[in-house]
Amino acid sequence: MRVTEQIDALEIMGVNSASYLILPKILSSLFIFPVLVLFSMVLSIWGGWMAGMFTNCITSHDYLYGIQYAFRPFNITYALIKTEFFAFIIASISAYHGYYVNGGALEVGKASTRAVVYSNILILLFNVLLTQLLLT
Amino acid sequence: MIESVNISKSFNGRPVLKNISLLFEQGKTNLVIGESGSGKTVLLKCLVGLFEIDEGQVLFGNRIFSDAALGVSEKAKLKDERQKIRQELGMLFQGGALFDSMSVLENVMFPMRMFTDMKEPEMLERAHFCLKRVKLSDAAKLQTSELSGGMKKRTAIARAIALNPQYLLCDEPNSGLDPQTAVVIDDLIQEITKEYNITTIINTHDMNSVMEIGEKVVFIYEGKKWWEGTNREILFTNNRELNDFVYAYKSGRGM
Repeated sequence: MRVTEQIDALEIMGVNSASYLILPKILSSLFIFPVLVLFSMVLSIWGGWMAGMFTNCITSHDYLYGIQYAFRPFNITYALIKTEFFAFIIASISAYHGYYVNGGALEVGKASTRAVVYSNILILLFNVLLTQLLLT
Repeated sequence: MIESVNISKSFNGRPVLKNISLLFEQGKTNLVIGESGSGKTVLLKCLVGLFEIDEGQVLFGNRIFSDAALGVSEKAKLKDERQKIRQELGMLFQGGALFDSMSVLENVMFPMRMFTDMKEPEMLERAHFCLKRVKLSDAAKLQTSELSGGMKKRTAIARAIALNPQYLLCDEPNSGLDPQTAVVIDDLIQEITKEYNITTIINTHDMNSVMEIGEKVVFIYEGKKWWEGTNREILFTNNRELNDFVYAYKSGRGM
């Protein structure tokens, strides 16, 4: 948007462009990422169940017993806490690099790459940190 | 009226604007001309605060918009005044700067949504009026990606006049347009300037525009104000740099 002067246009109109563009992205990520994670959890458990049943590797009874046997409700909480941190990292870093990109199409590509690389590194670091804090 | 008083701007120690003092008058089309890289766009962006000036002062009417001499706390106090002035300001960017996730109508309604308490029917009425003013009534529902270059510029003008601005700033409104469409855009800007008695500043290097609508012309050369006059006076000046600039166009590259 900066490349095509749309951010400048917002600023000229007197709109706080950072707040207008970045805040909704961060808020929506914080809201929707946990929903996606819960959805993926349900889907993966159901997928495993179906795969086990159709390939005759495991009976339905054993599968349902197995997933409940060592179940710790805190694991869900732990996953959702991590998700919130990761959502913030992904949304804020991507928005930051997008907001400040200057130049042309080449710079937009470079900024996208930087956003992905920095997000990945921070996610790895926070993964270690949160695991240490929450699971030890 | 927009006034710049001794403004200077540097980038990484390289001076781009040097002590420029100008007065852009109300109800007139004020043109800033100069070679590419002479500092025209930087001047325009300094006037509207997209670049902070290193030295000098910018005034809109009698209100201070930028003042390099002010301290941090004084600049913070100036912020509210600046916000008010910005809402009286319409700007036409070189590429239009339309929001591509919105339709033409939504683009024109955007400033009204952000800064007024107008009801939806009132906003629609005003937006349709602005689109009619720029002869784009039939394009209201189109996405910006479906517009031609000239239509994009006209949509940007409609958006710029949506809130009845006191000041209209245009950065190379004719770039990338064919000569006929360029004339249409020039005429439209001049008509709007007269109709609403606003202060209009146009950055251009199109000599056709200068001769057609340049009621006041400022020539910027190497970051300095080199010459100031009217479009008629340009033809009789002895200023060598300005003549070089004009002559380049006369010798078959523009006029």
